Amino acid sequence: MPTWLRRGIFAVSLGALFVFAFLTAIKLVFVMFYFALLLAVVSWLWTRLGAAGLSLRRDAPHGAYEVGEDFVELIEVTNPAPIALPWVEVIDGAGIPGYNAGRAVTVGRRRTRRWRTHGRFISRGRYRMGPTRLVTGDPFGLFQRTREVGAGASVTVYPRLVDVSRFLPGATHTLGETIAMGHYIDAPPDAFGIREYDPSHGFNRIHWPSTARLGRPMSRSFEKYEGSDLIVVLDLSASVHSGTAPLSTLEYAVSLAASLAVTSLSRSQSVGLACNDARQTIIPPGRGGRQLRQILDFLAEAVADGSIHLATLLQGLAVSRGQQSLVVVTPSGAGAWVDWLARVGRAGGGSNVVLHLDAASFGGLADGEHGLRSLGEGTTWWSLSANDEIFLRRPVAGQSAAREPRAVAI
Amino acid sequence: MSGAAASRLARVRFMGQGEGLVADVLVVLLAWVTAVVVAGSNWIPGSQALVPVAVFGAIFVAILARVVPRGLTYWLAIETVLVLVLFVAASPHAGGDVASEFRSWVIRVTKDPNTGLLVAMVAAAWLVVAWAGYWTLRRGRVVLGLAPMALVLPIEVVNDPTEPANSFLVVVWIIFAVLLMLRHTVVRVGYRWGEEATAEVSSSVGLHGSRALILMLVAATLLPRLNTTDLTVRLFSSATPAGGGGAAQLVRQLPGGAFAQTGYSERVQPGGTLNRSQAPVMEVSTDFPRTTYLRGIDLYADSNGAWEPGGWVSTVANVGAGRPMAVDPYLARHTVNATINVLASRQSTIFWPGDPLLASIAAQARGATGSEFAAGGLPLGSVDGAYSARGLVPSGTTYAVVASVSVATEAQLRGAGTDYPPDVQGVTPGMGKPGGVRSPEQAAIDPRIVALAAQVAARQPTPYDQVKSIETYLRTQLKYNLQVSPPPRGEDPVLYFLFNSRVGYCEYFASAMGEMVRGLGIPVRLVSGYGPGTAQTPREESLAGNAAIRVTPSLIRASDAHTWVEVFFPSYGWIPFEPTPDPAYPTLSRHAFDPAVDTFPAVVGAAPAPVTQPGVQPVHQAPAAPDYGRLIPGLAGAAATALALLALVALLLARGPARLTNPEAAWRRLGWLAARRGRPRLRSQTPIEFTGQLAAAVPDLGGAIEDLGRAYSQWCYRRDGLVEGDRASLDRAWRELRRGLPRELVWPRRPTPAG
Repeated sequence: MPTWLRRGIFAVSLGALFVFAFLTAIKLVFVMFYFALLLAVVSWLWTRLGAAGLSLRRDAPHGAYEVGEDFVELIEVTNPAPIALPWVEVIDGAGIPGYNAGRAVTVGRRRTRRWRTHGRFISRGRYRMGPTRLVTGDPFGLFQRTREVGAGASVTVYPRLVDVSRFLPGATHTLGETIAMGHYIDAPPDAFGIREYDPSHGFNRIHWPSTARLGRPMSRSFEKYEGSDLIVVLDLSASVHSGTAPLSTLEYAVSLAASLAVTSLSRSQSVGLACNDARQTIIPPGRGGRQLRQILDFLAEAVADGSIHLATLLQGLAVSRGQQSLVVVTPSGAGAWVDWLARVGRAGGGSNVVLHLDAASFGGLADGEHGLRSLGEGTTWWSLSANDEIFLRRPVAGQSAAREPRAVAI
Repeated sequence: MSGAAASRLARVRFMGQGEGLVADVLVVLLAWVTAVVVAGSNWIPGSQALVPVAVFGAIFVAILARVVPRGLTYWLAIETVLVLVLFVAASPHAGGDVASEFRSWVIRVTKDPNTGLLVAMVAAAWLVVAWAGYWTLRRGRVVLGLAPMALVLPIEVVNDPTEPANSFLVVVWIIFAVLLMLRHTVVRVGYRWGEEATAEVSSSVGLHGSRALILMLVAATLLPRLNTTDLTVRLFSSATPAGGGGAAQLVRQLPGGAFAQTGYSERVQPGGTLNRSQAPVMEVSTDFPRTTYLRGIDLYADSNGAWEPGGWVSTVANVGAGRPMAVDPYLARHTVNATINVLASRQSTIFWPGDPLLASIAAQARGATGSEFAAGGLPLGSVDGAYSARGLVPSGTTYAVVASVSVATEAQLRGAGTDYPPDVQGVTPGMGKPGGVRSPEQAAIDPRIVALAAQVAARQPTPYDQVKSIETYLRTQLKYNLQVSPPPRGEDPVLYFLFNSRVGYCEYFASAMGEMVRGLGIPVRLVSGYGPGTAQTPREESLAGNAAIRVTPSLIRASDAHTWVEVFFPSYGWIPFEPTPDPAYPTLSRHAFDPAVDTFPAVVGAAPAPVTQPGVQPVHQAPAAPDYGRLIPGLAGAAATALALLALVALLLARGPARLTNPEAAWRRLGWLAARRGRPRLRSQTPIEFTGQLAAAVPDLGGAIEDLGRAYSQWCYRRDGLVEGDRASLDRAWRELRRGLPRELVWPRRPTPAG
């Protein structure tokens, strides 16, 4: 029954009661009418005045987090009205899986209620800490009003990182330190050392801390890369993934891709990302923090919505492939892409690695590894199941006990 | 356990939460209170069955609401059990086999109106409770669920506004209903947030809700009525069934269970429970400031507790309009002028505020013959009643009567002696002088009643004291109630009343006093008529063609039908006594009539007013005409209250929320203010330009208006919207505007000219 109809019935009943009372002049009928009228008016005013000044403050986490990280949030609800609100529902619209900051509280007149909530990011994505709805009303449940407080800070939750160092093709050898120190925005990430300043150097190459420390001008020197670029190929075709997050091939594939990018970039390797999602996202190879953030930002929200096959993506990459190595992450164990990879092999000069996720261990149909066996010597492949050791080092909700890895190296 | 069974069990468990046991109990209590209120009115015999039906029904629907998964199944179960309930609750069981009982029950339902009515009431009670259970316990719509129950209460209250238990029950019902609403609020929050949250919210909702409930109840009780005049009398009188008339209107509760209701009757036979009928019968204005009863017919013949007029009363003499019916030979009498406005149709009896003297309409006087009139007049009290000579008196007719009432004092009555005239002796069995004018109606008084009367009146020196002691005995030792068990078949109701039940209504008391007084050999008669009724608002009125005076009219309803006792005292005539201990009927005044003392309102419940107002010219007005002028103050008050409430609501709405989430609400109000100033915003104006112009027009709020304009502009056009500093500025400006806005909207001030 719609609200207007219920309120209409109530108003008509109230009017009828008034007519009844006015015509008969019976005190008790007047008492009933007055009570019903007072009940309606008091309830309406209670709700109206109470909701008018109700406010909310959320001291929420913001920035970037990784799946599995804990956080704390402080919430304040203030009632400046001169009447107490016996019930206020704080409804959290953030939509962070497994986390609800809302609750039902009582807020006295001119009082503030505060509480902390503890949560854990269990799913990657980009979230806003809101919007938050405040629902309150009279104690008799006749009226209620909702106030919506806009969304607050945003949080990006990156995929879970696992140890993938052993899957990477021959690590890039660099001269000097492998990790550029300092803030990745302020300092060139590729600088690896200093040398005496030469007038041919530009002023922007002077390394001021060393200059100050040594008392003579010093220039930064930049590393020379001997290794090849790494392209992480992530299969985001909608038809190949199975399972439900967090135990799904998509989540594990994204986790692997993110881990590969982080590990390779930490070795100062140039890393790119290629996906066959609906937008056919290609992130060209690059180094440093910006590249890392770009890749992780994409992976935080990556969904398997692609329609083109992995083979098509690989063929496209072959055009621009030079010294690049490929790491293919896919739950697909057969198909044209295997044939293509077996045929091309080391043709580009780089090495190829395939990380295959066993769909059967995620509740999908067994795709098998038989197709992968047809890959030539130029390709190393690993078949990983949901319970492999690398995924178990940091527990994920719903995952069962550890067992031996089934990774097979050719 | 099979999958289907497990699924069903899980669903039952889920539904099993329902609204909780507290809500179940409250619904049962609400059903019980409602049923008690309805059953208390005794609409029909056997209506007490409504109480167990309602209680059982509430328990049944509480269980059903939890275990039945679908609404259709719920209502099918309700309908199925209803047939069983009707059969069990609404039919007497003789102990035969079920099939034959069911067959006879069906026949009874179709043939006997009382059984049909009872079936309808039980079905209605069952469905009302089922409705409450469905919407309250299953769907969480408390107001909708309780609406039918709530509708029943005012109907019952209007049906019997004098029932004191109704006030208590209505208050109890309101409390239970509000508690159910509070409980529902807690349950609804608990469903979303779990038990942990419910504990805090539950206590808070209970505390604040209970406080509000008490305050609202007190306020509702203290608030004055917007109208104190019963308008139904004027609006619906012609459509109301008759409460009085020449034929016997009082249908009694017989052993078979007939319909029983209060009303005027020419035969007094104490029986079972009576229902109060609120049908208006007439409105009476008199110039006599004491309590006046309205005489319909005198009853002399007593047979096994039943009193009837007696054979001679059937003697009828036609008396022309305005002609005297009797002469007044007695001492300490006062002549009363009265105007009677007939409100009920099908009424032919003429009513008198004393012994009949004269009527303004042609009448058939009862208890007298034409020859007696021709012989020179009858003594007062010889006319025992009168009909309108033209038969039924239409509703809306007004006639005037003149009557005589005794104002003899106790001292005078004590000294009256026992020299009864022959015609009076003739009406009293066992007085030994049956040769009077009238035929004696011999009736043997049961020796136990005579013995009781002798015991009560022992050592009383005069007949008056003896009668008074009997009156006092009955008023103090027996209880008054309309709800009584009828005497067993064949048993004298007076004996049953005096020695067994000791509970009864006016007919029991009057019959008992009549027999006890007669048992002492004192002339006595019963009078059937109406009590004083309910006092109305005083007004100017001309009675019997005399000058207009201020009188307090009385509204007589069918529930005011009454029987009392009159005892004959030599030289003083027939003197009324009131044996019924109903609070509405106190003992009658015996002090000497003194206009300085006997001023209005001697009528029970009347408002004070002088007897006459010197200098007031006669005003001839139709007494029955509705005086709508009296409603004007009430209506004006109601309208003023409604307007004030509307203005308050409009003011609150105009002020807007105390704290802004965005400047939109403030911007809208700036638009109102500009329109009020006659300078509406132009489409070409930017917010800054507009508020600058408005600030110049409203200098008192200029700063706030300009701040709001800036905030609105930033909110609309800046990428980040309002930052913290803007927000604080907006809040300050909004507070200032909010304070001054109502004043500027209602009484706009003109800007002071510069220089």
